[in-house]
Amino acid sequence: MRSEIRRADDKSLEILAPVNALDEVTPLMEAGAQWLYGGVLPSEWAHRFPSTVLLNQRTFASAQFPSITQLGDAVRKTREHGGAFALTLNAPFYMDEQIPVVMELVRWAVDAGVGALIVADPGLIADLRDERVEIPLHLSTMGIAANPHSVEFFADLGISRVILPRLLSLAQISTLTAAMPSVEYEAFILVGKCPHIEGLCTFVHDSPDRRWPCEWEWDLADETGGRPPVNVSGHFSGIRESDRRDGCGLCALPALKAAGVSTFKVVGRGAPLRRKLQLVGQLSRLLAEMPAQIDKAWFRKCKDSYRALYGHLCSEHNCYYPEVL
Amino acid sequence: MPETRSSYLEIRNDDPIPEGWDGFRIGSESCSQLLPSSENVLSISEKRDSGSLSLVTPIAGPDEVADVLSAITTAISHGWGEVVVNDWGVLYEVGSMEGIEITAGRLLMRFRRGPGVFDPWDELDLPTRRYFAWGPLYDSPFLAFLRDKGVNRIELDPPRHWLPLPDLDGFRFSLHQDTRLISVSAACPWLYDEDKSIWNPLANCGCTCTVDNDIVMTSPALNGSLLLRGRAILERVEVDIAELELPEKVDRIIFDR
Repeated sequence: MRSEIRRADDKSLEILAPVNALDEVTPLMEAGAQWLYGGVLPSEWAHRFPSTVLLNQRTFASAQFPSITQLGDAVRKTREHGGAFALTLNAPFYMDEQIPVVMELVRWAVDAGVGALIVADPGLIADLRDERVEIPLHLSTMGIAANPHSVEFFADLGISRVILPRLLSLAQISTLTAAMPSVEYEAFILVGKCPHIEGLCTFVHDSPDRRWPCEWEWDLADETGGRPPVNVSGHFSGIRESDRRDGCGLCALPALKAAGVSTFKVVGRGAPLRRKLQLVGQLSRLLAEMPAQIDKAWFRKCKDSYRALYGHLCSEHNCYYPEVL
Repeated sequence: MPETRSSYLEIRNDDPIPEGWDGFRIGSESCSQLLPSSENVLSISEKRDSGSLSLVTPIAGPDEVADVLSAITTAISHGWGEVVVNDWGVLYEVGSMEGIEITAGRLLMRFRRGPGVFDPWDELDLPTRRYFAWGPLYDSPFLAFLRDKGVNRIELDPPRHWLPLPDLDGFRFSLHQDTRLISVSAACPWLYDEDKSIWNPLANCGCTCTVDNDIVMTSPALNGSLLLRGRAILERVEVDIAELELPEKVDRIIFDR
């Protein structure tokens, strides 16, 4: 089953926002989101595995819907607002004994009117294709389609939208989308600037303070005990001194649109609703005012938006597309 | 080590080829700049007196994937025995190529190797231990998918806490003896230009990471250290192969350069 393919030039641009509670749906839709995404841990899963055994790519309970019932209500309410809900099933793999729980959730999602599944495990994706599960599939960054051959590979499996891995530059995105225009593309735009390739990163994100290993203070030395090269030190200092939560790609919106990216993703499942609304509202306003090309006025507007959202100036370490800076 | 188990050494493009090894691995899991050029492939092929040759290929961006596929084609034409694949698009293309063994590299396998969750290991139940030791090897649909794509060998690295491997049909296994793969940096630290506050484009890369030593990363939050090697973050492991319950299907051991 393949979803209907739409391109950025035949529909308006869309915002995909994080959600983890029913009472967040209406405010987020009213703030400008067209898509919401979220996940849930069924009790059968939560009772059997610690939070670090992934059903979806979040390890803390506050990022999940508290129950399937509430998730179902959120899906229904999103649809009532004219939007769509994407369910996260984006663990990199599922063991055999976990698959029945995953498939039960998939069947539930189809019946509940979920708009898409965000998936990453090629085995699961192939099974969903073979079983003709009638729901669009969006490839998570945990699946990693970084070149046109990868996109074609996953499109053959039934993926209708690719969430672009954070490692790609604007030029690389343009090359990729031009080579595979039959697929929808989604790009991260606010929050969550992961310094590693998330689909290849196995650091366990389990600390209660949500300070992940990539944010730890790392002392660097070469194997003889000498100083590391200055560029390596600078790279790590920048990561340490910046906050991954302050990630931003606003300046690049016109270039992303021109490249055929149609959906812009705000990270932050588990964040307070007030924060989500600030982010979605700001992005929605900027999309409405966006010029065809990046110019000085747009650049200034985005810089001001960044400072309003995060309280400081942006830097290359917070920037999704630092070549724009 | 049983005599049937072969030893492969990782070497760089310009390294001399030492004696006493069953095979050599050239290339990189994480960086296309470290792939051998056509000249390198020819030179290595000519220098080798004995031993198989494996081409290790990385995850590749849209501007890199052609070079990866070209290196594979060249390696096949020079009789190299194995291509280690770490990118779905490369797997998509290489599956239709004949005359070479296709191996799923560590990046495709996505074993959970990052430190942080495993203690106290003894308090975890068996399914959870399996998840962190060999999780993807318990994902039957994924393994069937790999087989369908022509993969007949899988690369392993030692989990932090060893468990016997599951009994799987249809695959042989290579085990990294010296490192486990933890993560890959989205931007290459060696390309960072502190004066300009920007990462230089990949095209400007001088592969200085291969000139410098590995970088040792230590943190008060980590009981131990990690290694930064190019874009890859690894953890050094000291494994006594003889003490592991390795089935015969683990018939190849990979040694760092």
